This record gives sequence, structure tokens and C-alpha cells, in this order.
Amino acid sequence: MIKLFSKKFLYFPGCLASAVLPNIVDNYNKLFYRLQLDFFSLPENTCCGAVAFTNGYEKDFEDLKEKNLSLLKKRKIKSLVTNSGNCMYTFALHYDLPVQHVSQILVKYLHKFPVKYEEKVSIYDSPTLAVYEEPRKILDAIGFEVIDLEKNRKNTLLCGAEGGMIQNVPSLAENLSRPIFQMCKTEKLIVSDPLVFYHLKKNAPKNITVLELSEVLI
Amino acid sequence: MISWLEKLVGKENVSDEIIEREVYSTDASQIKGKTDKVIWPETVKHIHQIVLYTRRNKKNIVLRGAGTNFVGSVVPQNSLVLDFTKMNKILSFTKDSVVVEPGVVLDDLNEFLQKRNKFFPVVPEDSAVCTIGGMCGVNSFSIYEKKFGRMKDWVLEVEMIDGHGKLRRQGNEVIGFEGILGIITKVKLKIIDKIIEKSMNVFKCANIEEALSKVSSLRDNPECISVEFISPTAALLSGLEHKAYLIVEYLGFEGEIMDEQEMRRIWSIRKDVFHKLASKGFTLLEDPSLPLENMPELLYWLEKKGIPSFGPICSGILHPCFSERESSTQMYQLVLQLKGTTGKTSGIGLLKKDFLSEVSKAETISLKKRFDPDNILNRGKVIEWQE
Amino acid sequence: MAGVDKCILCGLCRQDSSLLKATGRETLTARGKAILIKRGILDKIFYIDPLTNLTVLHCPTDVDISEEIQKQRVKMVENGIETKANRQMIENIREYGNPYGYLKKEEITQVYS
Repeated sequence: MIKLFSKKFLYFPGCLASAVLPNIVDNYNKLFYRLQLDFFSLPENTCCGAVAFTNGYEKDFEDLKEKNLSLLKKRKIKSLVTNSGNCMYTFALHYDLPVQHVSQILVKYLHKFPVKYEEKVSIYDSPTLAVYEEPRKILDAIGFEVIDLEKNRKNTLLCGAEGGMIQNVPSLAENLSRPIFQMCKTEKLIVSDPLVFYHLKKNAPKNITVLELSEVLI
Repeated sequence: MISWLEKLVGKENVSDEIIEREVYSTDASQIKGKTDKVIWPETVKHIHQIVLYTRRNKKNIVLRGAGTNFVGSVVPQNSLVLDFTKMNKILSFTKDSVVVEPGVVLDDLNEFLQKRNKFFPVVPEDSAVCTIGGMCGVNSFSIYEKKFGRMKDWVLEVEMIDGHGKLRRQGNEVIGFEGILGIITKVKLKIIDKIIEKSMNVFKCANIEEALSKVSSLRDNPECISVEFISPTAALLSGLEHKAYLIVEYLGFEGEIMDEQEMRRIWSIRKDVFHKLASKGFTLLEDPSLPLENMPELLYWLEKKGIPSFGPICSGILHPCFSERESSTQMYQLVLQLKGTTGKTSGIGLLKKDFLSEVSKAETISLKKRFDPDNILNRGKVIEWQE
Repeated sequence: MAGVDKCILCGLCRQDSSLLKATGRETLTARGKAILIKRGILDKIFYIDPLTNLTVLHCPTDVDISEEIQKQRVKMVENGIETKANRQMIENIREYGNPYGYLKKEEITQVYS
């Protein structure tokens, strides 16, 4: 069921982005501010509990969820915007809250982004995030020619960042990223999920630059 | 033994962990067998040494590709399991042929060939997962069998290690024996130019009679390369109209549908039929084959019982899907009465030995005596064997 | 979507299985894990899974293997079968409210009070 999206939203970057990619969080805060959107952030980096839930720690997840719901109620937050596919899935399915991806907000303001590029880029579709068209529309609007990877959208491949594999089987997670780079025929590969960005950037070969979506917008 | 094997193939390529023993104890037949070790060979030397070891220690080996056939062909019987997934290289390519390892997946081979404007026309129903080794084992059928025949027709040469441990080069006479003669290490296959000009027709026939009459006329059409049938019951269960469908593919432009995207869309509807049937509980797929003139009786019997079916009907093969075993047993009694058989698509394995003809049995026994008299390869499959 | 009881072991989930391509192991496919779940086996192999259900596209009986594996992980935690990394992660969450241990204890009280 699609819930009505409140004008005022909480930008919830998720714990990974907050802890490890503060410049990306900063980018989105700046973008939303420049677009004069009615949003706010929490000063602290809370966790939606996705990693607890997916790894089998149900009680811990329920505790986190209860605390988060009470926090959201206290702050009168009715809707959220996030970068993270895991957060998006968790808020929608387990918290039953309206949530959108950052690209689904930014795509409404394409006319405000100047055309500043004239090159080809590839985009990797995270199976956890499953938001396909909005990032493409944004990249197209700023002048990129988006070249789809051979396996894209719902036929995408795993990259190794999924399901806790980075922490539990790091060398397999690294191996899983290789076919993504083999499919990429451009110098730049754009991703719009922070965990995927962190993983692919770490494992990218020298000839491919992995960029997070906000890095080409800011 | 583990340490010797680990030294041979590498620690990552051998396992006696319970999780592997459980997973590899079965296949798509769901029959539970027993294995105490799974090995992933990567070279001919690995296979050769494993065969010699197996002989010395009076053990036996099961050869496993994708494990997708329904007759128990790769169910281990206190066997070592050799999984060929890692032997998946395309070794060489010329304009007329390609040499591959047994673990190459058919769709991956055609993806490689397509980029070079070539095509391998033996395309089974499960082409996205089946391996060349497995296809050699069952002399694989093809959706294009009407025009291009079966796997054996396209094998130029096979390199294999037999049950003695001897490396042999054979022709296609060893194709179709489900791994009981030797372990294929390399296959040389004929290839053709990519088919550029093709078209399609979809016939919605009011009833089975009309469909079979159409099939008779298509049988003699040399441009027709494939005729896929969907029974009225199968069509209805798949969300189509309650009619008998024929999806016909042609070389050239005889068909009305020429747009490639539209043809792909129609093929995906046809491929989705089993998905739709299985989701409604019709999960037991069978493969009776019989002379086309006897097909009506079988089709009417299936329709009367509400059993959906589909398949390459021009080749005399049908895939009825059952929700329980008892009706499929009754069906085979009828198939035998109608001078039919089974095993053309999935082989004989453990479950279909009764359907092996006396001629085939004699030939198999003769070859088994020559290549694997000590019965170390795929024991218990296809024929009963006294060592 | 269905449970593992509906898995017919057809093997069509091998198609496009990144884990199979990377390791060659049937055990890491959806079918492999379905067999282990059906046989009541708890093992750390269930922590090696993307939980994305990409293979459901090819499954004729629409088995929701991700949900089944997540349930196995719950059982494994109940039985004390955890990985070192998961243990660290959950201890960080319990103490700091965050898997990376970023927040100090007093800060998390402030956020949730």
C-alpha cells in the first residue's frame, strides 16, 4: 500500500553512511537545502535495525524498532527519505512507514540541475535498493549518456555487499564484485546505495572510478 | 584420504562436510542417496588420478553437472560425487567448431557464439542451467530437434577417461550413456552460422484434432524448425485461452511474426508455462514419446483427467505435468500400449530402466564391458550390472 | 510466495546464481539451502546469502528462499550459532545503538529519551 508522503520528511542516511561516508551525507543535506526542501536530519546516527533483523537477532531488532518508532513519534515524523536500500526495505516492510529513496525526491527537481557533463557512464542497480529509473533520469538530465550494464534492473547481479557477506565472507564478497566491473565499459560507474558504493569503491580496478550519485550532482 | 585429495585438487575443491553430503545426496528426482565426499575437479589430471584412486579403493563415482533431470541420474549410491561446475572453459573456437569443457552451460556457450555470429542449435528446455557434459550424457533433445536433431548429431569428438583410467578419444558413439562409460573431459562440437532470418506463427486451435492436423502438415515443411504445443488444459492454467496452442518457428520469413522482440516475448510465454503449472501444484514433469499417429489417444486421456501438457510435439514428445505419482504411472501403462517410450529428454537414470529397449540394453552392456567393466562410473544407472 | 516445502529441487535457480559462479558449490544455491532447511540442518552456510531473492525470478514454485534463510538465522542465533563479525555487530548495537559502535552510551540515551 502506498502511503501519502508528508511534505516534511526526515532525511535518514542510515548508520553506514553516517559512520563511514559523512561526505555523502553532507552532499545530500546540501542538495536538499539548495532545493529548499522541507526536511530535517537527526544529529545522531541511529540505526534502523536492518543488520540485526537480517542476521537473525529478532529481539534486538524489535527493541531498536520500538525506540525508533517512539523517537519518530516524538519528532512528529510522518515520512522518511534515505540513501540505503536496507533502510528503505526495513522502514517500508517492518515499520510500515512511507519511505522514499533520495533519487525519488531529487528526480522531481530535474529542471534545477544544470547540464554539466557530456560523457558516458554506467550505473549499477543494487538488488537490495531496486530503484531503477529515477537515478537514470537524473543522470540523463545533467548530460550523461547512461550505458546499462549487460545485467541491469531486476536482472542485476549481486555485488557482494548484500546479506552481511562483507563482514562474514570478505574475500567472497570481493570476488562477487568482479563481474560488475567486467560488465562496465565506461570509466565511471555510478551507484546510489551507500553500502554498495563503499564495497565497489574499495574493490574497483584502476580503470574504473566508482561514484555515488550525489558526487555528480553537488 | 582427505589429505591426499586436498593435495591433488586443492583444499577448496574437496569436502566431506555434512552440508555438502546432504546437498549432493539428491538431485531433481528428489531421491535421497548417499555420498561421503564431494570433489570439484578442475583439470584432466585431477580426474585421471581420482579414477585411479577409486579403482584402487574399490569405490565408485557419480558425475554431476547441473543435476536437473528427474530420473535420478546423479543420485550417489555410496559414491564420490564429482561436480563439474568448475570445468567450464570454452577451450577453442573455429568457424566450424568449438571445443568445450563439460561444465559449460549451454546458454553461456550460445552467448559466446552469438558474439561471433555462430550458433549451437541443440537447445534443451533447461538451456539456462544444463551443462554440455550432461547434454552428452542424455543425448540431449532440443526445441529445434525437427530441423537440427539431437546432441549426438553435433558431437565431432569426445575426450574422456574411462573406468580403467585410460584417456580416450572417441567419436559420438559414446553419447547418450549417462556417464556410465567414461568421464568426459572435453567435447568438440559442430556449430552453424547464427540464424538471422527467422519468423514465427502462433496457431490457436479450437481443439486437439485441429492442432494435430496442423502438426501433420508442418512435419513435412523443411523451413519449420520448431513446433511447440500447449494443451487446452495447460493453456487455461497458464492464463491463456482454453485452446490448443502451436508456437511454430521458421527459417526465413514464412511466419507472420518477424519482429525479434515479439518472438522473444512469445517464447518467454511458452517458457513460463511450466512455472505457471508448477505454481498450481503440477510439479511432476514427465516425458513420454510416441509415434505422432498415436498421440491423439494420449492427449485425450490427459485432457479428460485434467492433466496439463506441453512440448515439442512434432518430435513425438510431450511433457505432461502431474500433481501426484499415481496418474503418471497410469499414463506410462497407456504409453506402452500405444508403442511409446520415455527418457528421450531426461534419460533413463534410476527410474526409467524398464523403458530401455532390448536393443539399447545389449548395446549398452557391450560398451560397458569395454569401457567400465568394474562399474565404477554412475553405478546403478541405466542398466543393472554385475561386476 | 511459498515456503521450502514447495521446492521441487528442479535446479532452475542455478541460472544467474552469482554465488554458484564464484564458488562452483551447489550448496550455496537456493536449491542447496532449501535441501538443508528441509532436512533441519543449522549451519553457518546460511550466513553466506544475499537475501535478495534474485533467483525467485526463475523458480517455478516461487519459493521465498530469503525469508526461509532469515528464519534459519533466527534459529541459529537461538542455538548460539553466530559468526564472530555478527557477534561484534550485535554487541555494538546493544551498547551504542549502531553496528559500528559510533555513538557513545550517553549519546544514545539522549537520542531516545
